[in-house]
Amino acid sequence: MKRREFLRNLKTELKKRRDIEVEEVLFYYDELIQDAIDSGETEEIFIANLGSVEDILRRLVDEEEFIISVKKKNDKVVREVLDKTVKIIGYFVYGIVAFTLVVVSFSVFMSGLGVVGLAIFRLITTTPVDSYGYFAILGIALIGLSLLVLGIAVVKWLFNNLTASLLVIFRNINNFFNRKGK
Amino acid sequence: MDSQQKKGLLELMVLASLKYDDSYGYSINQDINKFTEVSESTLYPILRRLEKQDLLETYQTIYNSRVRKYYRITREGIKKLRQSEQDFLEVKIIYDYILR
Repeated sequence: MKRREFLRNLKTELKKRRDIEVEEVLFYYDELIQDAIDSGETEEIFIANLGSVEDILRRLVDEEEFIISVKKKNDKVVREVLDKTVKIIGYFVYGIVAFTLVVVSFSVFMSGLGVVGLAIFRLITTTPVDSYGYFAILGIALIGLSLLVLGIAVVKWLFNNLTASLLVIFRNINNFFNRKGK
Repeated sequence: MDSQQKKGLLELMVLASLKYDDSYGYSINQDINKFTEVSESTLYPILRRLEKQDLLETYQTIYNSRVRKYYRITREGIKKLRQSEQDFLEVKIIYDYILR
């Protein structure tokens, strides 16, 4: 077989596969055959020794699959690094949110305490004229108490759901990065 | 020799053939064939793989008024060769035991 025929056959076979860089392969063989001829080899014999077009294609396909598997492995490494970043950002976000909630609930707790104190103080220092006065004081005391409970509840919830909320944060950040990646 | 093992050795031979000088497909094949029989069609996927792994890089020059693709070993490629020397010493110890 002469070079032109060989390259034509090879091209026809290569075109059937979408994953192979056809021009690059053809260039390789074209250069190779020319170099062989320049070195004094017989064109037909050299081409015969290259093996059948099917054989060449099989080797190329095997190699493509190998390269794809290597690429997948690399993607996994990227994924692991990303996971680490997500974790760090996650803890950071959680820290800020938790800190804010603790501060807010502490002030809610303190104002509740204050309001209850105020109600007690009112009860001691002034004697209400009628039952409305008692109700007013009771109302204020209840508001204070509920603020107290609310403050404690938020902090308690925060620590009870530590893992769950961390997971939610991680998942959201992960999704964010994935969307960006695409 | 099993084919995977041979493929690994061929990769190293290609890198070794570029250790001192850049070279092109036909010449690399000639060099390697002094030691073990390998067809040009076996070599192409290996060259491609090594390039994908950044162990070698390519460039084109004009030779005899036609384009020729040259291969050059990278720093990573040199590292890989050095690593293979280390591997060889380990294998040698084992073979010394097998062949004793």
